[in-house]
Amino acid sequence: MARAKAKKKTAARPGRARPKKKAAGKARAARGAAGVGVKPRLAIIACSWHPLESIENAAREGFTYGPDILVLPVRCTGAVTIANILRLFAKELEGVLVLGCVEGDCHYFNGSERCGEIVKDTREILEWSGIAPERLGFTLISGSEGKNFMDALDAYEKDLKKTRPRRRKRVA
Amino acid sequence: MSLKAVIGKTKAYYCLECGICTGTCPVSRYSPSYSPRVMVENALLFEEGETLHDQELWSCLTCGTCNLRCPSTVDYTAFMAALRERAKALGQDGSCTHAETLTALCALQARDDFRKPREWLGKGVKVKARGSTYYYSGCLPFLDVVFRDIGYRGRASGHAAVRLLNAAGIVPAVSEEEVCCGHDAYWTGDAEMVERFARRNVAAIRKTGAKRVVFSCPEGYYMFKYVYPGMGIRVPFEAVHILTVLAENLKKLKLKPLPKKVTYHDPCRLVKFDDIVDEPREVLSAVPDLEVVEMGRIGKDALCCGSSNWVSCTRVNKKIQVERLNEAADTGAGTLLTSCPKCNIHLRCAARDEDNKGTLEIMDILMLLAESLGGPKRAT
Repeated sequence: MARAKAKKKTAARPGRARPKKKAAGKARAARGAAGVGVKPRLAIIACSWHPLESIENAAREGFTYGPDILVLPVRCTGAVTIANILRLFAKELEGVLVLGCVEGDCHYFNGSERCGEIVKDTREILEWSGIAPERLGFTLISGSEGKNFMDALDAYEKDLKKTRPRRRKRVA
Repeated sequence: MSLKAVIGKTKAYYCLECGICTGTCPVSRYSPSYSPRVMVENALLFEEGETLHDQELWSCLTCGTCNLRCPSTVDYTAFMAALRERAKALGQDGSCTHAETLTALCALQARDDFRKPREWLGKGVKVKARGSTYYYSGCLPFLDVVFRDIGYRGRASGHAAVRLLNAAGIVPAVSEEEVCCGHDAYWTGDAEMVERFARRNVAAIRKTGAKRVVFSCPEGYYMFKYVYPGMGIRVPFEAVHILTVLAENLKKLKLKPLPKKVTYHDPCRLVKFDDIVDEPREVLSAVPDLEVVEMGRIGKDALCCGSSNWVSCTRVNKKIQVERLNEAADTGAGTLLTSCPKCNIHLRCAARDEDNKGTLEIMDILMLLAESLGGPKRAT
């Protein structure tokens, strides 16, 4: 109810930033009910503080993204383990995007820094598994505007397109 | 397989209740609540649920000491593997160690596009895509990441293995398509996963045209030699451990003097499930100036490194590890050698503890031999 109301309100306000009509935006147009009966392609591990707010606000502000994107909220990205990420990749997903709060904004002091180390280690494992390390995205989001999340997702999808799905060259 | 079938297959009904298994079990020594004898008796006398819901089911190290000493030749470890398979079907599970990373890594390797790039072996070694001898490395390249804090170097160990093979005049084939051997999945009751891995591995190795597969990890060796054929999967090549290959080609190696005093820890899969006792000693005796001293319990009587299959790492396991470390330190050796990556990791972890700060250096036997080959040291 509240959601519909918010949407109506936004639509009525002129001059409000609306999603730009881009090719990527069109591709992301919702196909049926979100997530129902659709095999997930991407998983987003989102911290419940800024990033999850940002995702919720994106929906309120009228942005859309594909139903094949699975959002998994966690209390803090500092609690994410290597095993969590690898298990998602084991499910034949194309990529995993971890969204944390900007350093200094973490509610639990240093969660995103700890997550940064976990992501680094996991990327090394992916590298030796023939999976491009860039397919594990890690972005820090500051503030909870919907646009922040959409920008992060767009940038990540762009990176994802660059990686060839099968073979890659050693980066580091 | 029903409980009855498990008992029939492992000949558990021959149990005399003599208690030799419990007497020899390294876990029972420190944790009286776990007893192999009681485990078998419960399975024979009570309902299935009694045994399967027992958390002690996951305490067994599967080291195989009881198998060797049982007067009725009950195959206790196979009994354990079969019971765990049934328990897993009921939703039971052991407590995974290392934040489940290794278990997830095993699951990741089931991915269709999993490829292990050859570059992990590093520079300065010769490998090829096809050949009569194949080198199987298993999960070695990944262990570096997980065990960086205790200083374990799996990639360097794999590099040393290939360097030694090269020195022995063998250029091994290495496939990018090989996956996990499924050892831990087998012992924690995931037979379906093992079968999938087995088929993929056999297919990947067949493509290289290999007749002989060399293993540097005892667990992969054990799986290929005993478990895969036991599951009805045809393995069309011979599985050999690298120490056997090196013992055969000792003269070609031209080992240089290495003034060190070492002792060797026997991994369970090589001595209790197989018979590779003399080969490592033969290879070590070929290194000039190397003094090898033996611990009290060696060969078939060797003590387990205290933990296995990436389940259950409790204070009991730690006590077993410390017991083994003390035994090694008592020999007066400065270096403890082992040929199993897991023994290496577990003993390193225990040696790092505050109470057990010794001067003992824990080292992979292959890395010591590669050092004795001379040449440039690999910087990792």
